[in-house]
Amino acid sequence: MDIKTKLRISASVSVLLAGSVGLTMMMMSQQIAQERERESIADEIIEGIFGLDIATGEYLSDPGARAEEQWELRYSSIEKLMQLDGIKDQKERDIVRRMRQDFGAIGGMFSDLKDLFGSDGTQEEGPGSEIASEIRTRIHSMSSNSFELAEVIHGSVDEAARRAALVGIVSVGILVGSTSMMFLWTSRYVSVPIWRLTEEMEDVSVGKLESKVGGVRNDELGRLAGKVRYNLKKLLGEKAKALEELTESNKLLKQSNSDLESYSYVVSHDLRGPLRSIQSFSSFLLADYGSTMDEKSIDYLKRITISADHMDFLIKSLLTLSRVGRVFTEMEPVNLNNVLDEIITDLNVTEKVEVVNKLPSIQTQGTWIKQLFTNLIGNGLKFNKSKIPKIEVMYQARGEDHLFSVRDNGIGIEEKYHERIFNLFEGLHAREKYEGVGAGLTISKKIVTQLGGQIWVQSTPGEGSTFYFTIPMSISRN
Amino acid sequence: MTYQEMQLDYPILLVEDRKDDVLITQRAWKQGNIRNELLVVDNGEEALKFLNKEGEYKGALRPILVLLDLKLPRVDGFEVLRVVKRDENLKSIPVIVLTTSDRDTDIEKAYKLGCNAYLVKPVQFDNFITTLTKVEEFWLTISYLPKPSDLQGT
Repeated sequence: MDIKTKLRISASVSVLLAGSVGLTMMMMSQQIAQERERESIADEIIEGIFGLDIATGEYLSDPGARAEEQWELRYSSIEKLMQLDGIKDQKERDIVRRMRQDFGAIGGMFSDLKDLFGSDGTQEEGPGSEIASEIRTRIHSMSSNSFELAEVIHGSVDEAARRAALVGIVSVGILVGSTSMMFLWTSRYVSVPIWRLTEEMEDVSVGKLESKVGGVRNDELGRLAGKVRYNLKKLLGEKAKALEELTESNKLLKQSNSDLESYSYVVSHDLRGPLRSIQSFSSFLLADYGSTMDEKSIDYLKRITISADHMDFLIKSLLTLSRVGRVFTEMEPVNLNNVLDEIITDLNVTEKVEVVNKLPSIQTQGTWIKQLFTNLIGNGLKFNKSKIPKIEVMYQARGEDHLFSVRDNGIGIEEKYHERIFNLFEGLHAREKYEGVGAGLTISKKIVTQLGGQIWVQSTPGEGSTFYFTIPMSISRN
Repeated sequence: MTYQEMQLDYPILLVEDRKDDVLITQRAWKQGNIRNELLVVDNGEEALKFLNKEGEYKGALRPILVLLDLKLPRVDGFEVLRVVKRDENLKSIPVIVLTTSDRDTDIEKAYKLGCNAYLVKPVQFDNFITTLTKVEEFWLTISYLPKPSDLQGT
């Protein structure tokens, strides 16, 4: 059953309960009021009878029109009171019946007495006194009956009050009880599950997923908990699945990357054999028969040799490129100032290369960082038509990165090539324009990428180029 | 005749399957004026037969040095290395790997199997001549090599 329905039912029950309690109390108080009314009537009757007794005495001592009138007045007022309704029990009924008999007899006897005494009011001895005594006896009997009646009615007033009090106490008890029950129920079936669901959600945030809202409940909270759990499971499932897929595709990517690398490696090696033959045999021809050949044949043969040499250079570049991915040397502390000194000595370019500011010492891979600077400096000098070729190496810390730049005053690179020069095959296509680029920049990019950084170029054709690259400081601490 | 001068009288065995490479090596040998005789077999199996003087190689001279290519049909260079370097009679012969591969794993594997040097064939012929003459210079005129046992005492 839904909580809403349960709440509605219990609210209706409470209203009904409160209503009936109110109604009962109202009825009870009305009953009490009624009983009180009867009580006062009984008291008036007692007074009336007392008065009638006195009036009877007065009449007997002085029978006259005035006394008679007084007596009649008393009698009729009692008669009115004797209408007395709302009689409930037998005892009261018996009393009232006896009183009515007495009262009727008193009335009858007083008429007889009036007849005896006559209108002149002279008192005579004999039957008159007998009747008078009879009247008094009846009055006394009625009086004691009326006391008894008052007592009975008084008892029933008490009884009604006691009953009302009892009903009141019981009603208050029921109301308190039902309110407490509702409170307990709300707390047990609403607050506790909500609190547990909250706990469950807190557990989820630390990676646990277990049900704390016990049992299968077919209400809003049960459905809410179910829905929340279902969605969470679905989400977590999706997350796990996505992670699995990601791991799998990462694995595949790694595999195909390494396949590609070993493929290019094997191909490079297999190309070397035939290339060696082309190079060697064309040089044999030139050496053995050069003297008997015409100029054209010699030119052709020379072209073959030069092409073979160039191809050898390309293959070496490809091998280096595949090596960047395959052979990744250990991280070591490297003082880049020393690296630059070595490069300048190796290339014999002391006059041309200037290290503008002091370079840092970083945790990196010495072999590859040297290759990187060598490539960039080498290119800067190679593609340079200035009278005095010049290279400037600069460094600055930029946020989380080391930022290096290598500026040359070379031929520059058109903007449309700024990204393509780093791409292996694009680089080869652009070769016509930038003869001899080989895979140098592709290798440079791969080195920077492996070290977790980025590389880019800014250049104006005819003025020179500046190659920038970053190395994350955090990686260099690894 | 000094000990080292005698080394020049022994042949050197080239194990090479590519005819082109054989021709190139022979020419470089000539142009480099290397005095040792160059004997050639074109696969690993033949190489082992040669070294063990089996079959047609009965009575052949044991080489003082072996130049071994790694990519060979049937029995490859690594296997030849393994067999030679585990053979009590053959292990003293220096084996120089001569290949196009500069693959790290190949280099490490070859040395683990006991090769005495690992050389990568240069593409340029002139460089190749230089490589071979330097091999001759170091291994045959600077180094002292063990004499093949069957010639001892003669």
